[in-house]
Amino acid sequence: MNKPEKHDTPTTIPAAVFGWLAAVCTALVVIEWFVHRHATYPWEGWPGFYAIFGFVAFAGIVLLGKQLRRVIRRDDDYYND
Amino acid sequence: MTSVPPGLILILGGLVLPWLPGAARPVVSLVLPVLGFIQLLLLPEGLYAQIGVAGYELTLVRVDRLSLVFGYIFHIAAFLAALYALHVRDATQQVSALVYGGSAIGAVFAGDMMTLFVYWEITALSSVFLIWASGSEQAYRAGMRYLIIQVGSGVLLLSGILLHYQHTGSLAFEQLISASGQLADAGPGVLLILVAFAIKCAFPLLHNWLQDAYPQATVTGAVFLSAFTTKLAVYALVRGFPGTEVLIGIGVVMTLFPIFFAVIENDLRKVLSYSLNNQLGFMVVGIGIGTELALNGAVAHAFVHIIYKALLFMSMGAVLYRTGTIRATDLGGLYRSMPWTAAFCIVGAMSISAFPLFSGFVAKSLTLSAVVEGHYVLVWIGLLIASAGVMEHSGIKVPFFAFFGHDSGIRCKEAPTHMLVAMGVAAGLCLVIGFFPQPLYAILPYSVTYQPYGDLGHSLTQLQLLLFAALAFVVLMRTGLYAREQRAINLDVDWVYRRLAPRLVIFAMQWLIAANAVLNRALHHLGRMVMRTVWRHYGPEGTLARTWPTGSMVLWVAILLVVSSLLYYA
Repeated sequence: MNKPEKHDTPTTIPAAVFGWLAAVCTALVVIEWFVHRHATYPWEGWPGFYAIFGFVAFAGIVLLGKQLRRVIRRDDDYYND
Repeated sequence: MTSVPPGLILILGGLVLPWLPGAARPVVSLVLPVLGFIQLLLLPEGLYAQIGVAGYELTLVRVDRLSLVFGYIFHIAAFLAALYALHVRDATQQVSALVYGGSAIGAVFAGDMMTLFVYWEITALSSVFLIWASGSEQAYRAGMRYLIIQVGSGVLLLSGILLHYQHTGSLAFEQLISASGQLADAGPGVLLILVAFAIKCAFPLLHNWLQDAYPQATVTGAVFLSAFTTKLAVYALVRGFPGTEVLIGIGVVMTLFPIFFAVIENDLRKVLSYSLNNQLGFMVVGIGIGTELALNGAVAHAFVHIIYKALLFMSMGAVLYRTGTIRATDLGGLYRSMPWTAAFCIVGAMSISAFPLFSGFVAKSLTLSAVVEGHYVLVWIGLLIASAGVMEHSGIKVPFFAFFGHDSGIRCKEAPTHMLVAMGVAAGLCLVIGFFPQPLYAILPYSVTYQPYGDLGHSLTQLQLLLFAALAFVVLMRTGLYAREQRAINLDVDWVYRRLAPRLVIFAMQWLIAANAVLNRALHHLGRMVMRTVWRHYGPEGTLARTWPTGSMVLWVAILLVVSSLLYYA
């Protein structure tokens, strides 16, 4: 299996972007206390339910996708030989 | 103008096109959808062009609210894609795009299933040229596979229609599933028709023609393809199978499985194809629930989806057009060279991710509230996970790896003006529908009382879901845990017919050849044994072929004489 691509300028996300995003996310959770929420299911009403759900679901998808890659990854010219 | 069946303006215009001067063709391609759209506005609801052919009663045109909303959006898509393709001088592509769009429009207005079948097959036959026009060996092969599967879906449809006709004596294209929504109550004809629709709608395991063929299409061809085929199938399901319970589960699986493939895919147009598959899942869930709210959700989703998916394919097409590659490993940092394309792509990405005030939000909310109303708890959780998945592949991955991420060093020109205008109009529509959903709600099949922004909490929780998903992306990137782009392909169901089936055939052939050789050898051996025996007895040296001297003959006769006289006198 090939190693991930090496780039001259590696893909990174600046700390500033992380900081701003984290700040906005925090604000969204704080605002939640002041907004009336219509919850059909009881767990919807838990503070931060959607926030945690979004984070965990996203991370879960990526990490599971990596496991899937171990099984189905093939070289670029797999079908061409 | 109202006497012409909808769609025919585009089809006939497309057939005339090759005889027009080259410079006029792109303009005509642009004007025809406008004429068709005006025709729809003038067309009152009802049944038209009812004719009898070989004893069958056909209704070529049925105009109702459901066919109209698909008719509108198909014309808009044909117009936007033609605008995007203004630079194309290849008559084959221009003709096939018009005929393809026109036949999709004709299909949604077909009042009977025979007419539907004819248009169904024309969409397959005309659209494949948009793939073949790429000119590569790969595109040719992918197009072949696409054509076989699409025409196969048509053959199943025809068989189903004929069985259904035998059973009921009706060709009318109406609700085919019984009120119970159970497949067990459906006849074999109806089941075959459902399978035909399922293939074109890319149901799980029947889906892979989509990811196989669309990324091989031309830059502009993929934009046309993304709009029509699968949404025609969604229309057909809404018409024929509303409330079919099994579709709910199938739809949820459809929203979920493509997101894992999209995470690890390198070809960004293929990522969009998986994303298309995932979006179809949301619509199929709505069709399966089958309440007025849910069906409205499915139709509204199809409507807005056509626009933002076309927009995303346009932006990735522009990248491919300018840089010559669409692989995430080769791209990055293009916002410097293509700022407008990047901005429009982000609008498309936010729309598909269903950010509040973008078009995806006002459509998806309808389906999700129908899910909540029906108390489908597991479905609701599945769709919420799928929503985070959409944010992953279309919301972040596509724009990030093309326009941001690491700097690929590619410095190219911004997309051509007509492409930018097409993307700009599409992005504008995404925003206008997101801000003012009422005009869209007004043309849906059933009346809408739903207010997407009536509950501020809903917008807030959606923002939380999406932005915390984005936060997860940043955290995974910074910790190196993210699934980095890799120059590789990933196997999918197409492996079965591209590798497994040919290998099985080759294996079977080799086995037959070997068995044949063994059999030959055995026969040969047997033959030799028989011949050897015959040789021994009848050959020149054989006992039975020996020439006996006359003397011994006389001796034997004498002996026989003696023996017989002894026996006689004894």
